[in-house]
Amino acid sequence: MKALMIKDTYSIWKQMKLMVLMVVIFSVVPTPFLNIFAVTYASMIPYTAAALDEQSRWPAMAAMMPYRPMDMVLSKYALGWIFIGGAMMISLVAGAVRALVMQTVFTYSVICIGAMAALVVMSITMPLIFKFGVEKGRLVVIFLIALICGSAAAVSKVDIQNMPVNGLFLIVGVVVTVVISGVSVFIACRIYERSMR
Amino acid sequence: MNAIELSHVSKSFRDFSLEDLNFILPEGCICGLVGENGAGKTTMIRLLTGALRADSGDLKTLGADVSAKDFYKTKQDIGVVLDDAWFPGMMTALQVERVMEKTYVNWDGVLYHRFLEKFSLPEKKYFKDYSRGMRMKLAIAVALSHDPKLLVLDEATAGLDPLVRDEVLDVFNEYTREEHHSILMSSHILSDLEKISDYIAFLHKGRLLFCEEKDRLLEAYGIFEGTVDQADSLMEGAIVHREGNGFGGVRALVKRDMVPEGFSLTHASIEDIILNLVKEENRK
Repeated sequence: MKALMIKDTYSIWKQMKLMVLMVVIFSVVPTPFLNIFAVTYASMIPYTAAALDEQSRWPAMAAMMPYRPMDMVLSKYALGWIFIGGAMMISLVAGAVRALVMQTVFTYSVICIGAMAALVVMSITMPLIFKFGVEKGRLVVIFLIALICGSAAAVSKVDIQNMPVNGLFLIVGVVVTVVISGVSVFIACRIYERSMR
Repeated sequence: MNAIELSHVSKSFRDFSLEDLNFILPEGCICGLVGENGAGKTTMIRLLTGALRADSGDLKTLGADVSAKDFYKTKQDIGVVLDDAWFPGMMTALQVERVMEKTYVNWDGVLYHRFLEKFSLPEKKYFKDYSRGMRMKLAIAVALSHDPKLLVLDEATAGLDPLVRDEVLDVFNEYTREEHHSILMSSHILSDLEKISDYIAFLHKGRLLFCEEKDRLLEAYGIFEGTVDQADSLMEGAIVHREGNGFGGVRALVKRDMVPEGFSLTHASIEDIILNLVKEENRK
């Protein structure tokens, strides 16, 4: 799996640099829509890697190399998890700095919810990518991201920091996200194995 | 141990099927796999490398059951070169090495660089900027650099100029000097297969019509050129395929042992044999 992740990193290096720049810019702007977009945009990275793979028909070659089906699937998920986590950290730091400089309240809740939403979007769409290919799967991704970002105003009003059970809300959110991600990986693995039949 | 064993293997798709394939590649041999476009060569290669599951039958590659869950470990000993599947375009030869050294336990970086030099491949150029020939050479360099016991080559010499093709065939020949090294090579360039193969396997519309020793094939068939009357006088079954030679005569692929001594036959190349067999099968 390490080899596949290294391959994807080399493959999308240029897009990665652009993504980091966009995440930083969108995180600094004090708009919930852009703050959430900064994190959810990171969830597009696995699709970009998958699209580049499809262009060169790499999966046909990789199927004859000593990679397990789990390696082929999990490497794409891991890429997404790392980038979403990285984008979240950048957004949190940028948001904290902005709050410090502008003497405003640091609302980390929006970014946390955005990150969880990005993970759920990835969990829903990755099996579709493995089943139908990148082009068809990407349409669903764009629709879901637009839906999430469009709901940013409502999401930004969920002020978990001042909720009586703010910690519980986050914990439940994380657990649900982890469970959904686990189920998604399982389904994607089965789809990949079936594609070899 | 045989390098490849296929026993009653079948695989069906909507508009094509491989039917009841029985095939053995002995260890240490080179087998040329021939067939027209769409005959099933790539499908057969995908089956024996575990990239596709057969509907029925037994497949063993390097002694391991291809359908076993741990067959991916056996792929450490298989080197593959495909006609139309490559590394992602934004990678360089050096980056490919970094991926492959994490992929293959027996990766030999020194040998890889030797091949890069031998094939004059730039190390820092993006794969998408390589010509087709350069892509093939890089794929061959990768396939040979992890001490494989079996090389599976799908049109590996396509797109190479004659000089480089000759060089690559010498590399493959040298590879099989080790007694445990085997090659399955599919190619439309039949002269290449005639040059290096020990066996020729002929796939036609999903059926393996034969897998024979190359030398036996070359001894078994000949080319007859003569009059129509002469051709008609040959016993039934002697002529595999006949066609007019454009001058009122006949040119036919014949079985040497069924042709009387008085008839003069010329040498039939592997290309002559396969072309005539395909034409006859299509005529039927």
